[in-house]
Amino acid sequence: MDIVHWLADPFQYSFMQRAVLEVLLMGLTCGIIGTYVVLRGMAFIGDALSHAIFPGVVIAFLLHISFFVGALLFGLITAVTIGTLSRNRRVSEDTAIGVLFAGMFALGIVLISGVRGYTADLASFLFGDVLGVSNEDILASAVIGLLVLTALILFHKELVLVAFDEEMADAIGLPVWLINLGLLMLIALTIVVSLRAVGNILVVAMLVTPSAAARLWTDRLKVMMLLSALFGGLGGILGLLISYHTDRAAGGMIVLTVTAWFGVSLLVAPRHGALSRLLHPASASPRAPDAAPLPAGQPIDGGQ
Amino acid sequence: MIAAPSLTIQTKPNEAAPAVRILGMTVGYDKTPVLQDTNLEIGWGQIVGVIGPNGAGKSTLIKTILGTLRAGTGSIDIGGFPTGSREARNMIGYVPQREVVNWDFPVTVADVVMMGRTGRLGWLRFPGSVDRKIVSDSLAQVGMSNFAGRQISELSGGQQQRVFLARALAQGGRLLLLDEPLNGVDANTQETICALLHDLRDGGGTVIIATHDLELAASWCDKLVMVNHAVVAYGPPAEALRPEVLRETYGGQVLVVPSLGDGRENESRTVVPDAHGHPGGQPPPGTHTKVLR
Repeated sequence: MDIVHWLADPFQYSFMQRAVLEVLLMGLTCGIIGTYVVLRGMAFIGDALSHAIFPGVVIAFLLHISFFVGALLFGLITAVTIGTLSRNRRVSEDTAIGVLFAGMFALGIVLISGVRGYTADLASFLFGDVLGVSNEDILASAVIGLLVLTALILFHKELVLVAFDEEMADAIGLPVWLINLGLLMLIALTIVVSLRAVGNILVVAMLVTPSAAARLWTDRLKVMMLLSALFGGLGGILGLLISYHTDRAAGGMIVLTVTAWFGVSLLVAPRHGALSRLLHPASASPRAPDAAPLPAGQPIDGGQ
Repeated sequence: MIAAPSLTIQTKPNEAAPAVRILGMTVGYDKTPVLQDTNLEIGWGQIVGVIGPNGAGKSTLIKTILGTLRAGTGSIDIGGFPTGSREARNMIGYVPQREVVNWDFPVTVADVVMMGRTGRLGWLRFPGSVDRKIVSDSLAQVGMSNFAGRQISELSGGQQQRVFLARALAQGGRLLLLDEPLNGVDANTQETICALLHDLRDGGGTVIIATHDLELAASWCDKLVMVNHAVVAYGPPAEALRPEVLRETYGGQVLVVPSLGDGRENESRTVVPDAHGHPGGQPPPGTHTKVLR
């Protein structure tokens, strides 16, 4: 079987045409916003958001309304809750988020276990059902994807400043808390877009892995966003094709594909890859010596 | 190396009002006051050092002037405008401690300096040619024009500090706040920063530096604020660094011992307690122990 047939034949089916569109939209949106998730160390928060959205999906299913409505509602509620928790210094943010998302996920499980023969539905929520997407699903994904992209462009300078130097952002009067909440909401929207393709459990991989791979290839923020979108989109399509030809679960195969690409990047990426470190040991540590972390014992005025 | 001081002064302060006026201020974290009943007035056209032991409120004072920390009681005016107001914010340029930024975030030197324009630009507006001009001028002033396209994390500590100073200049304010600007900074950068700050002062601006470097404070600053949970003293270095003031500032743990064998009678050795408050411990790095009397 030659490569052209391998690539083109699956798309004679309309369900594959819809699937590839959905996967592409998901990969692009996740890749771009995933840059912030990776650079700000929000992987755990992303995972928590996706789990906490689960009961929303279940409730929408039970009420026979669009899953987008339920997922959106729970996504935004969770974003606000996490944003509020992170504002309160007395509660350990990490612990609070852990408690919250496990509890929400359990609520979803309990709700859906009331449905007779629920395991098939459960599996499609948890692991995605990209071959079953409708035109409306694709439209919704496109609209949300466009919304996320527009917000990231319009608020680029504020998002970058808060990510790089929150104190400065605060000093010039930016509402740091609101901007962080906005970012959480955009991540929640992105997760909702991704649910049909890879499901609740695996969506965090699409937020983190393509961006983590892109980070290995570039030191430029905008280039990283583009590469990450490219890796997410192409990885999604390739994973879908492999799953078609091997008759394996699409969501899992998509995530495996981007994970494999991350592994390859770790080895061969020009600046931070293992091979380049072996070949050019000097250039692998670009920081000048006196920029090294301060030695222990250096008094740092502890926030006073 | 340093371009002519072509500072872009965009906010005209209320001429009659001082750079900073603090009245009856108490401020702290979680209801534990760090600075109590503080009164302070700093005029325009001077370099003012904020001196005190760790945890005594140096950074707290800087952050309250900056407006990121709210005072529990009292009032703080910047150029006649209440701190936190748009007018006050536009009057301030800020150089943070280098430890507070996210070094994993990939930004170029020019990106960082452009951040100084964010406050002036406002929402939904993108930097234009004026902003780009200000960024390149600011980089020229700190001698970092050739590094505009470099990743900030790749630079040396001194170079990074110059970039943050350029960012503060790009903010276009007349009041510059610096929090421990010389931690891990090379001598060359110290000179650049020193010359630039003096140019700013001579142009009518005011510079406030929190530092534990007493030698720097003595040689750079026109006035010193001695802080230990309150303002202990405020005046020219010759007055503020007298042994009895130092003793009060550092909690009575400063040892002033006559220096031996060098024949100069007016010089004494002042030992400042270390970060943990042990008297006679190693002075903080960067603290030169010879102090003017």
